[in-house]
Amino acid sequence: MANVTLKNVDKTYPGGVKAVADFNLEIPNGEFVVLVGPSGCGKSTLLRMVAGLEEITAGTIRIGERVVNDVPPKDRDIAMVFQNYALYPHMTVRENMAFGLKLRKFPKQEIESRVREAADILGLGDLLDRRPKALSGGQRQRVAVGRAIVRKPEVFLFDEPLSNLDAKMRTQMRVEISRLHQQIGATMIYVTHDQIEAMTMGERIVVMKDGVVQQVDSPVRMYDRPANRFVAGFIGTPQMNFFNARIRAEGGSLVVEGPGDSRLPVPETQRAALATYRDKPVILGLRPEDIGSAAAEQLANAPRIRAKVEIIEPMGAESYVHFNIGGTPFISRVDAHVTFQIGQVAELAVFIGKAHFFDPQTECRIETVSAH
Amino acid sequence: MTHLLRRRFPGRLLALTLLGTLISIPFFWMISISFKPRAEAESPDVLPVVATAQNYPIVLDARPDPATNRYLGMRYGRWYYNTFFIALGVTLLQVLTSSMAAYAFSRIQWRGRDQVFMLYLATMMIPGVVTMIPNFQIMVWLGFVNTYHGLIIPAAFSTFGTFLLRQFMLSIPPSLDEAAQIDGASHWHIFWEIILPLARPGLIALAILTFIGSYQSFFWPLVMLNSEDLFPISIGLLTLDSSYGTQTEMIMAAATMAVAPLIIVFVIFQKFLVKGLQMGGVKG
Ligand SMILES: Nc1ncnc2c1ncn2[C@@H]1O[C@H](COP(=O)(O)OP(=O)(O)OP(=O)(O)O)[C@@H](O)[C@H]1O
Ligand SMILES: [Mg+2]
Repeated sequence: MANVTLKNVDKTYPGGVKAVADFNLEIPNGEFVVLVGPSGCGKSTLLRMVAGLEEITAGTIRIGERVVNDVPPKDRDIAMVFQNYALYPHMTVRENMAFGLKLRKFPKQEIESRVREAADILGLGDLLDRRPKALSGGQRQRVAVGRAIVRKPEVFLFDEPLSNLDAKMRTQMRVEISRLHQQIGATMIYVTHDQIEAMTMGERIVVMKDGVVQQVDSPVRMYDRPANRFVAGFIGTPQMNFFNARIRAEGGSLVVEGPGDSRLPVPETQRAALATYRDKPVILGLRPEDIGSAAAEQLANAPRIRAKVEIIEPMGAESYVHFNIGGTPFISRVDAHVTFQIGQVAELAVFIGKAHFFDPQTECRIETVSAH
Repeated sequence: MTHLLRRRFPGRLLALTLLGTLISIPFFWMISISFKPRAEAESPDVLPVVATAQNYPIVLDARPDPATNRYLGMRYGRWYYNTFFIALGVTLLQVLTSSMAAYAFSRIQWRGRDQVFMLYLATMMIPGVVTMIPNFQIMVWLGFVNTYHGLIIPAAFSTFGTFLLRQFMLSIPPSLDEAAQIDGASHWHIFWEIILPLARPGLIALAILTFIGSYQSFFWPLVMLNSEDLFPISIGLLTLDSSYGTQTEMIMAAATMAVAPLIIVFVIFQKFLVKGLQMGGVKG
């Protein structure tokens, strides 16, 4: 049993850089949590504080029932996989994996059987007597994971473990780590700046920016209901399109004025929240798959906007089409069989029911509370 | 490396060859004279006309000097023993203390660390002769005069060694320490099982340099020792100078005997020395 609880955790580096501010998170036992955010947002710092490699400036960190603020890393029952693998270059794969167990005075047979077991799980059986230098990047990564699992810790910490691998290897290791999580069921905290990794691996995602948590949610909810404009733009590729718009009252109901000269009806579910924005500016967010896509086109009475085609990026099954509407660029994900000409002005259906609205000042999501 | 050197600086290779030859001339001359018979000793010939090895048994005290029919009384066995004992002791201790200090200066974070290091480094700028007398007084006070440890202990700590190994250790990625820390290693374990093995080329380079330095040291033992039983070779050779000042071939044979072990050590280990000084660093 090891849930990890962070309460009001602050970190200010000597020199005054505030890396993490008032971080609160409760990770239940066995959960796979992904910390994601742009470079420098404090993800590694947070992970290293959980590991005990970095002191916390304020707050409490608990692992299980124990407050670990002053517990050294070796007594926290954690294992960490580093971005650069941090394998001991002068030791063989076997010795690398056995090192932690030896220091903990495990009996020889136990060490041998645990190393075997880990090697089997990770397919390292034939490499046990090699040095790290003689391994490929993917193999080194596996050894680093192996070194973590032989100790059977309660909590696994991963700091961008896949960022040194090529795209194909990364996809493969992603699946392997997810499988490993299902197999051993330990609590895992995984840091990445890659939102695809976050979406595919995380049971819950924590989005951070400048040391502050932006949103904590499941991948699907994060995608469907981003808490603010930053999260909306960060999660999803190609990213969400944003338009400056204005709410108007028209014939007893509300419309969104803009982008361009378009007028889109405010969806019913959002009416209550947007009523207070009458005659005020808002930011309208539309995901690429909600403009001009097959799903949008099939809707009955979908409102339409007119935009000029600028660039077409074929992806195979679909194409990313870059449009321009009244000076604002946006991207649409359309079926590859729908053909557009560059320079053409197209009429695109908008899935307005899936529109997101953000306050231009606070950048927070505007939403009628209740629905979900 | 030599390839590169040759292609880019053909002139430099020539200059190095010239310099190397120049430096070797006295050395080869020493060996050449040591094989000359008495009659030829003062002749300007580069090589002996009639080479003889008889000077060696005489300086090694196996045979009397035919000129005087007396034994020279040189104690090479004792001198070698003293020299090696002192040099090995100094080397072992200096590598140990330097590596520990280097660890503290490179792998542990503590307040004012880099300032202290700069201060420590600054002591390298003080010439040895300046500290000679105060050092000697400390030795007198400690009762170390005319002892082995009077030669070994003061030489067991080295700013240069600390500097060399610190630079070496700084090239080892800090995530290794962190991984080891999480694996349950104390500083002691990290030092012995991670950092020292990875710093090995640096340790070997320092060991060779220290050994050679100690082997050659002259002034400090001269000041510190008066009992002949403790003399290292460098001091032992002095006995020859006073009694046999005019017998060049004997002096040269004795000098050749004195440097021979050093040359052997150097030839065996110079590969490591180069490797260590190039600071290859550690690749993950
Ligand atoms: N040892 C340190 N001393 C001072 N500032 C630091 C230190 N380590 C990190 N920082 C600063 O703290 C902030 C957060 O750094 P951190 O390494 O946690 O970011 P990150 O989210 O992991 O970024 P990346 O994705 O690039 O790894 C950054 O502004 C960084 O410059
Ligand atoms: Mg990081």
